[in-house]
Amino acid sequence: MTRTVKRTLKLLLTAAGLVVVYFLFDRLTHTGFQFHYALGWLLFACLLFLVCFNWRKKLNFLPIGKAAVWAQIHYYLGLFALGLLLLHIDTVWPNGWFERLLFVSLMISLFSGVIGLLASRIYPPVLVKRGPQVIYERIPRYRREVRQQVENLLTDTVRETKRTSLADFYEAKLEPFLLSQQNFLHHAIDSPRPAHFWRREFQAIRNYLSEGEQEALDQIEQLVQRKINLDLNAALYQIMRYWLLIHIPFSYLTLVLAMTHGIQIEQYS
Amino acid sequence: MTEDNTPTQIKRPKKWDHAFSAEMAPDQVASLLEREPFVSMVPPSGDSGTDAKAEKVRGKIQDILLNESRLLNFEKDEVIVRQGDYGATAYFIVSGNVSVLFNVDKSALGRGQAPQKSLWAHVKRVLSNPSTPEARDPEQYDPAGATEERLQQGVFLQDVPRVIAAQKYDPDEMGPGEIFGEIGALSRSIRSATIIATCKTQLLEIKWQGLRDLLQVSKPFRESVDRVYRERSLRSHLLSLDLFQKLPESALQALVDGAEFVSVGKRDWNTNAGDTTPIVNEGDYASALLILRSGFAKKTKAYGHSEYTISYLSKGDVFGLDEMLGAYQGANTGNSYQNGIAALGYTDMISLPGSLCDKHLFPHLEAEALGVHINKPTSGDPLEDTKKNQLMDFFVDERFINGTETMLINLDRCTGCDDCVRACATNHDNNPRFIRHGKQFENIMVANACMHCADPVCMIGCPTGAIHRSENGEVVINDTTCIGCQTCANSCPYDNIRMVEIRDQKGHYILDEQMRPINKATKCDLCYDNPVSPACQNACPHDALRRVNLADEEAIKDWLK
Ligand code: SF4
Ligand code: SF4
Repeated sequence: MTRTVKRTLKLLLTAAGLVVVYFLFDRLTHTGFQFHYALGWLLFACLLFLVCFNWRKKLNFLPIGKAAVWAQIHYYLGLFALGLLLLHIDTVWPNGWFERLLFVSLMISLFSGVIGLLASRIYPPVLVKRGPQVIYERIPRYRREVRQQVENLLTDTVRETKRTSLADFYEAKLEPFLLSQQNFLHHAIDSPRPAHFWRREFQAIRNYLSEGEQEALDQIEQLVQRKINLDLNAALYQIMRYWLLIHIPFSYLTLVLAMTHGIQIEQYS
Repeated sequence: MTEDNTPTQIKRPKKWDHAFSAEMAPDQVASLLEREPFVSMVPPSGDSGTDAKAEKVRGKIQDILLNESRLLNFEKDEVIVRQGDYGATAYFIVSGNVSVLFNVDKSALGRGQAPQKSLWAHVKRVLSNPSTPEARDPEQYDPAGATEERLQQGVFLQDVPRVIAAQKYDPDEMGPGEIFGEIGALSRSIRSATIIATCKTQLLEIKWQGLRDLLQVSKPFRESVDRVYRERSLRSHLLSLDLFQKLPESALQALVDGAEFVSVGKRDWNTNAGDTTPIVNEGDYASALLILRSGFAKKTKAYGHSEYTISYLSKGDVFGLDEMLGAYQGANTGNSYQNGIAALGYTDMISLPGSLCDKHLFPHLEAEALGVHINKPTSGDPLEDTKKNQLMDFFVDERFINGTETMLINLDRCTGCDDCVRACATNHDNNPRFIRHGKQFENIMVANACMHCADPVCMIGCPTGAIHRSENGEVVINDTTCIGCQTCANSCPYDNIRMVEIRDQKGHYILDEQMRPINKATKCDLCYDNPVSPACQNACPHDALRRVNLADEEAIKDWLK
């Protein structure tokens, strides 16, 4: 069975689950069963289970199932929870400030999750395609190495050619680029603009250089390519890692707010 | 509160700090030296010169036996070694007799369990892990407190008459002075037969390092082991292959007598891992059937001005059967090899000449038995399935085909979250046993993690036997007996063993008498004694990491889909 078929089946199952819950709870309403109240607690149970995934990752020394299976359950249960939420609020913007806070918190946690999921599906193949891939923690070191190599090349070229055009170009344009991570947003959408930009810059300066300088420029161009690739790796890894900094705190916040909301309802009903 | 900053000091670990058995006494060794085969290992004494030499050899053998061997007693029908298990020891028969059995039903053998920690013990250990990496209890390195590895004793062969009756040939018997288990021990391969005691039997079990040292010390012993090794391994090797299972005894014997050994390259192939040596060229006259005994060879097909790798051959694979059978059945295509083969570093083969096969093998084969062994039809065009062929080239060229538990990472799925690395560290002294980085072919990365090789060359030079195979085949390191000499790390062609400086539970480095840090070799042990095994694969939320046997092409294809 291909991944697409499996994914379609899981989506269908999630939708079927929602339909079953809807009709079951609706039918029970005639017997005095409180539809929204029950949905609320079911939603809370789902949220609780969703948060457990985070704990599963910390307790990976316990035989509690593969993380990949948990992840799949997490994705589809998240979707199921969104369906439950829409049923629970009757697809209407909540009216109390507390309920709105809860709703917004839940939405942030949900959409940050979706962004994380999309990033984890879209970016790895991009990194393979753009290769070579590097270990995230080593990027600052590689970046320093690139800058060092460019500077060594420049020193040698200036010494040999007695001309400073390349060094001026470095100081004016290249140095700021090589010093730190650049073009985060361009890389986030896998845009070729940084590469195009530097190609143009190199073309423009090439006409004013001597033969010896042009040779050095070829090598610098390759090093700039490497730097662009390092920036791409850094940007994509940062997104793939740091979305969790939003997702996890908001998931816990949602859980606490949902519990408070539940207790309030219990008290007033 | 003042912090205790005194470093922990221990004696630098040495070879033989931990004898194989604390119970092996000098008088037992002295009495063994009066028996065969040890008597013949010592050169005969005569004049003062030879006397001194004999004394020196005797002294060395004594040391080896004292530190590398132990005496074991077995009852009638007790299982000594099981076919298919890994073992790093050989056995000398001191008294009694043993019987050699092939293909005994597993249920009759009472197989051992992996030495798994209980869940509670595991959880306790993880939770009490000091926060610094590589912390150890220095007490464990105290030679006085050495604990002996226990042999799983008391497994008896069930229903002996039925098992004996099911044997195709009469079981071989061995008696005092003879040695067995040396093939598996020396060639780092699985036991090729099951051995049981046929009466009350006493054995001297010797670690393979001890056996290797004995072979170095005594030339006559070396020659006799070589001879026995050739005879026994040939017969048992043929018997382990389906192709030869239905032969009558006379035909099998004729094949054993007429077989030739072909060895290409050095046995310790890690020193020449990149070399390939042609064994057969495509188009050569098909004069013999070749069976791989150990090592690896790549099977190639000419294309244009070059050639490409179709597949590789490993232990037990047969080459040239199509062609030989073609010739036997009178087909025109049957007289030249359709592919070439080249040894990858080192290859050990059995060559059965065509005339011998025509007379003693082919007439006894049944049609369906032939089908199983005929080389798979090969594509004539490498461009037909370019990715598959290039992937095969990558695995073969980099020698990854040796891996039985290779860590593959599908980079199209890996997000670099490092959950796998953290899971490994949690299970292993707060320090991961692999690096999530390695050689890459398109979206497939072979990470730097021990592959638990079919031929683990890292084990070759270990002076203490600390690096060994567990009963289930994982290559593991005994931290207590590792002396940190780095031989294994230098021998691993894949750079998958790391030396670490160890600390005590307070986080201070453990030092020797000269205040130098104590090193230990570490590597992936496949979480062999943990309830969650392997932790890396279990922890990956994106199913991007798998431990795979590279021989299992289908499983790899399935996962990559
Ligand atoms: S470092 Fe390796 S070879 Fe040396 S004793 Fe330890 S396990 Fe054996
Ligand atoms: S856990 Fe999986 S996705 Fe994360 S770094 Fe390891 S292999 Fe990659």
